[in-house]
Amino acid sequence: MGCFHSKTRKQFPGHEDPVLLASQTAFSVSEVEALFELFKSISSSVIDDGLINKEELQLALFKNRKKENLFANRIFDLFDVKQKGVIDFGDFVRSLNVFHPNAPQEDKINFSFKLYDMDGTGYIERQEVKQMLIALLCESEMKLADETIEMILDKTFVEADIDQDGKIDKSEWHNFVVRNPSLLKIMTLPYLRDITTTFPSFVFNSEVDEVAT
Amino acid sequence: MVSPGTKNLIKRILDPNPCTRISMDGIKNHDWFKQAYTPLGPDEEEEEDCACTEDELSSVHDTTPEAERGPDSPYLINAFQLIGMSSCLDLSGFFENEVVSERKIMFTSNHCPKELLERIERTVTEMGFRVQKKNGKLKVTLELKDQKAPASLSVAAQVYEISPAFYVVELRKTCGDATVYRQLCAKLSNELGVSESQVQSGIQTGDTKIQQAAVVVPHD
Repeated sequence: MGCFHSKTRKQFPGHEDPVLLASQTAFSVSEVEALFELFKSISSSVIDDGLINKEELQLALFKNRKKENLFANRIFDLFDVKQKGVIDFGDFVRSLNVFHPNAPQEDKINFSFKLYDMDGTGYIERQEVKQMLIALLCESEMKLADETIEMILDKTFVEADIDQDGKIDKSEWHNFVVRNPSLLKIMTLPYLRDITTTFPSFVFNSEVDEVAT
Repeated sequence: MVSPGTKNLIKRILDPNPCTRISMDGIKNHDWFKQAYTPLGPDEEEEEDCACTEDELSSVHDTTPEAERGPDSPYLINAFQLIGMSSCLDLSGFFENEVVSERKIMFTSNHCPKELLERIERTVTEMGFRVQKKNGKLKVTLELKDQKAPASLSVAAQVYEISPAFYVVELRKTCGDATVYRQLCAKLSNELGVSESQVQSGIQTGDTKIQQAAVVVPHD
């Protein structure tokens, strides 16, 4: 540790101690450090300020900083835990933690509920689902008649909306997911298991004593 | 020490007589297998390399009982499963150099799944691809004659059912050349995509509504 002078605390306002983050998440200390490498490359891609703004997130995910869409906006809002308009390292690690294969099912269910509850009312309304379906169809250049879309919504809501009030509340979502586990497929990133092999350069920047790892 | 259950199963698998040898279904229904079996989780669907493996054709849909289907019928999907297929909800972009939309293409079709899979198989075979089938899904590979390079393209094709007359075909590139992949997808979607009558009725009754509704989608 003596050879490397750490500049990280000055450059990265949200930087937190990897050992602390590891203790609060499913990641090991080395994995947190590997995530830091990823975070550094994303957060410096447009503005080098140690924080991820929306354009940088879009650039990282879609290789196109201008590609705005419904889903990317939701992902950004959820990763921006403190609602500051930027994602710091702590936010980044804690949010990605939900996508870890070993993260608790409950966290994934809660995150996915918030993802689809676009206006944050605490309910997933039929109109919100319709908007998301239309966004998906536009993106994939698929055309469906309005009747077909309504039919898909009808079938889905018959199954999910138990009290038939036209919206899905948290407990209905919970039940729905338990019956349809593949709904959580998007909530797991297998890449997170091998993150230390994907970003090995952390080895040279490690701040942590070897004993601790 | 091998348990009697294990011994029995192994003996039946190694039966030299193919007529009396246990079948795959027999294995899956064998008591010992059912005890020890852990279904594949969602994380095991991802492929790391281009090697053709049985795992590449397995997905979380195989093991969840929710999809009521026969052996060759497609997976019935609801609105959220369809939404979940959006490339914009796929965070693998953090870890891959290629954009998700370069690796996954979907199109809708009226043709029934059996016909879809048969026609896909015919078309890709004519194009020189090799096809493996499992559980109503196809794995399409193109192998170069050059032995140094492994399969130069590997694509998994799957059909999902939205309604009895409406299906979504997903073509996912697991590795290989992006240009060849796009050519393959364009050819298949031209041949098998939504029929003209559907598109026309869409234009008359619903298409304009879709266009208008799409404008309403909020951009922050």
